[in-house]
Amino acid sequence: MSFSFPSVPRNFRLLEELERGEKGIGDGTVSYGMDDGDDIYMRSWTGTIIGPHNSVHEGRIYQLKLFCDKDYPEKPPSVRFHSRVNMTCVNHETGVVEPKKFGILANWQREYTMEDILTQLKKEMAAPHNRKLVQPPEGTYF
Amino acid sequence: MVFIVRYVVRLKPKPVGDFLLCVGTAPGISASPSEENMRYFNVMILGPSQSPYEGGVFKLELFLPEEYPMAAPKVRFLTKIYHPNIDKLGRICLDILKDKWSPALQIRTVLLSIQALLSAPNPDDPLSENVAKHWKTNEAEAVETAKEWTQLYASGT
Amino acid sequence: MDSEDDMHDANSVDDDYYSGDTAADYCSDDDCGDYEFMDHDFEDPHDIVAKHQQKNYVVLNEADICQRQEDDITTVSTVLSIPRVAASILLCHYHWSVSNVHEAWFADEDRIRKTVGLLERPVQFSIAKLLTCGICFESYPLDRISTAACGHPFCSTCWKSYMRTSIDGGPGCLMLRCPDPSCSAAVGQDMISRLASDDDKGKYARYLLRSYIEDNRKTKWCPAPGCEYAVEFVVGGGGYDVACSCSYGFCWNCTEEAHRPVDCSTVAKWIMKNSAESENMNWILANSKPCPKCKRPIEKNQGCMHMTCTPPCKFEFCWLCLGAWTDHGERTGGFYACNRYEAAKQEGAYDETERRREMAKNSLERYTHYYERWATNQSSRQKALADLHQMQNVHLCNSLSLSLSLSLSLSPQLEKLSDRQSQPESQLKFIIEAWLQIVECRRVLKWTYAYGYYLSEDEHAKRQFFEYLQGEAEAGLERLHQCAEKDLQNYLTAEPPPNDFNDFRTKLAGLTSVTRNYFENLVRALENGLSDVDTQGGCSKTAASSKGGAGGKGKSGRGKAASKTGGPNDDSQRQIANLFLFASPLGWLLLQKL
Repeated sequence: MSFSFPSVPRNFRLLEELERGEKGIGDGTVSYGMDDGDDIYMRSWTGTIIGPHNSVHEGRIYQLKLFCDKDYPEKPPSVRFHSRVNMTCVNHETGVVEPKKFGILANWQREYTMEDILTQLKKEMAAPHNRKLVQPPEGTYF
Repeated sequence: MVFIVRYVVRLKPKPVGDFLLCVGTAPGISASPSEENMRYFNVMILGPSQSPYEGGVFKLELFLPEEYPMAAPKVRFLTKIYHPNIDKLGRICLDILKDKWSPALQIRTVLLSIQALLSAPNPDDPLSENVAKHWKTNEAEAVETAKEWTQLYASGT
Repeated sequence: MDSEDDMHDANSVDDDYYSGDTAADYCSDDDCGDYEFMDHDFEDPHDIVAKHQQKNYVVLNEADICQRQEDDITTVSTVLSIPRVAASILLCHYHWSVSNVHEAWFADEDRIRKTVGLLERPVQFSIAKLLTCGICFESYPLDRISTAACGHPFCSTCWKSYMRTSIDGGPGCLMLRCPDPSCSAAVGQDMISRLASDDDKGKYARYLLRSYIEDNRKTKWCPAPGCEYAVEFVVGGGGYDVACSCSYGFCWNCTEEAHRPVDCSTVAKWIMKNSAESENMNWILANSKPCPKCKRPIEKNQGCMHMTCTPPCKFEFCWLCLGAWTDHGERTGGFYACNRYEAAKQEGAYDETERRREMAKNSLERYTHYYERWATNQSSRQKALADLHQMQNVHLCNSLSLSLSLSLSLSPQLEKLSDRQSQPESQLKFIIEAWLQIVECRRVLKWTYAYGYYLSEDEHAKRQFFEYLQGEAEAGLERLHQCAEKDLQNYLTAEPPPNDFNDFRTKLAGLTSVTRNYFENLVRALENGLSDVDTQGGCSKTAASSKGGAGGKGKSGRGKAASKTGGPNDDSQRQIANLFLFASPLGWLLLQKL
């Protein structure tokens, strides 16, 4: 038998993500929160990634901006780095994470969350093609 | 498998029944299911008379999660409101939505409880610290602010 | 269920019966008589012996637990004349204390009924043919509707999912109430059995059993992973160390592993400290160190600290301090001082920066010293435990009580030994005894290092006394462990079999008994807070004033502290020697020799 249960609507889904983010995730190397506490539609978010071990990113703190539009989570949020970073999937001019070059955005499913995006990005930093790239100085922004 | 089928079938009448119940019997409250998601309701609550919210029309959204009626519905205000038990994102601090939930409660009773909460704010169990503090230190002034906000955001346009 | 537990059970019921005047009032003579009668009926000589040897705790298996729970429910149900399910709900609310239930009930029955949700008069059902379920609002014939004592009707499907939600939510399901939001009627196990799914019934029963152990002040689960025994502890008299039937020894008070003679708060501090320092300490846990002479890596795969590098080097050294083993031996007066922490290399020719660096490292180094000895004794104990089990040919033994639990069938090892040495099997008990002693001593020794770490540096006399006792005990244990581990191999493998087995027996049995004495001294001294130091004459003043004297002066502290008597330290030396006299005659003799 197949029966698909009506899915959680956007706002309640974002509230769930907000609560999870407020509780703190895993080892704390990935975190996120709302930018504007007054925005009832919860569109703008800031994510933080602490660079993974065994990579040039180790110990560095990266800030990202995520924007969840009306069609989230049917469509992925737009994601861009605020802190300057040199990664193959990130546009060098704008800091935008290019969906075509980043699997989780390219093959988005509504079950994916902002936490998943940040965790994947952290993994991506430690991937062979990224872990040794020369990085811009710390504390510079797009 | 058989069990799941029965569960689903058993569950269906509840929201519909709820819906019918709330249309007819509760003054100042309306709820209509959204077209694409029968578990998602657009809710309207009128500010109770003799409260700072009188004259206001408050929009809420309500969702019945998969576990409903064993788990509480999820409800929040979409209209901005100045109330010690409601935060900036419209989240509501109400016991029956949390640990005091009972499957014998219905959408109608939930919405009536929310309406009652507007008449009787409880600053001792706050969700919004600042508002609660305002309420406790200077209730008259807080009530004024609540009235202003009602004018500003809930005047039913 | 064996009779000992029955007996105990009856006792505990009796305790509750007589625990106060009110209790005695409602205990009819017949009832009491029954219990007393049962008591005698079940007692047999074996149990009496077991009871007197033992101790302030009882290990319970699942059957015992169920039986006790059933018995408690029966008691309450009989005394209060209420159904068993109601008795169970009451007991659950009162943390399974029969006497508290009785007390509360007879003080104010109405109030208790209200709080717990036991309605007195069941509401009469309507006589309608159909009833509407209060959750799904559908109408059902009566046989599809169930109610708690309150009469609020819900259909069996809604009941089932209501129960599932509650049971999935955890042990709170034991306090389940009617789904009606304004109703507090209790929903007990009878309704669960009738309406919940089989899976949920099982989970509920499990929570009920767990509650009997976890909510009861007198019982706890054995904390060993995978162990399903519980331990009932009778507070008052005796220490907290208990030995579970799974062979794990733990402290009933703090549920850490058994740590006598060190107190719970020291253990808690130490464990906290270890987790904070764990990253720094990881390297220590590595099982290999370079040989201090030839620098080849040496793996420690045996229990005792006496290491011998592989040929051709064959250097013999101490695993802990990496010094030559000969320094620990008889030539230095048998003084084993590897247990003593002293700021290393104090006399060395260091330049200033090096010294500053050393000082910064010092606190970590001090901790490292104690941690390493704590951890190494732990792994030595594990190894010894494995060896013991191999000897015993069983996996369950009472490692804590040191009561000899020799299995009926000999292990292959001992059988072989019995053959080779033509020894009757009964004559080999001394080997098991030695291993039991080693296991227990490793445990005590390990915890004395946590004790040592927190023993104030300023209490000079106490510290010296402690380190002396610990050193003696440790040296004795090393000799014993080496004898049991290495010497024994000779008799198992050498060809032709050595013919001095009786010497070996004398040696091992002797070492076992000497080591036992050392450890008894150590345990006793720590348990009374090393107070002998304070009471043995007004010595501590002098001792304390000679700060950095006796202890700090000795180079690397390898056993020469006491021999370096000089000028101002003479007094304290003598005082400490006096202490040793009381603590251990052997220690005194050694001092005389130096």
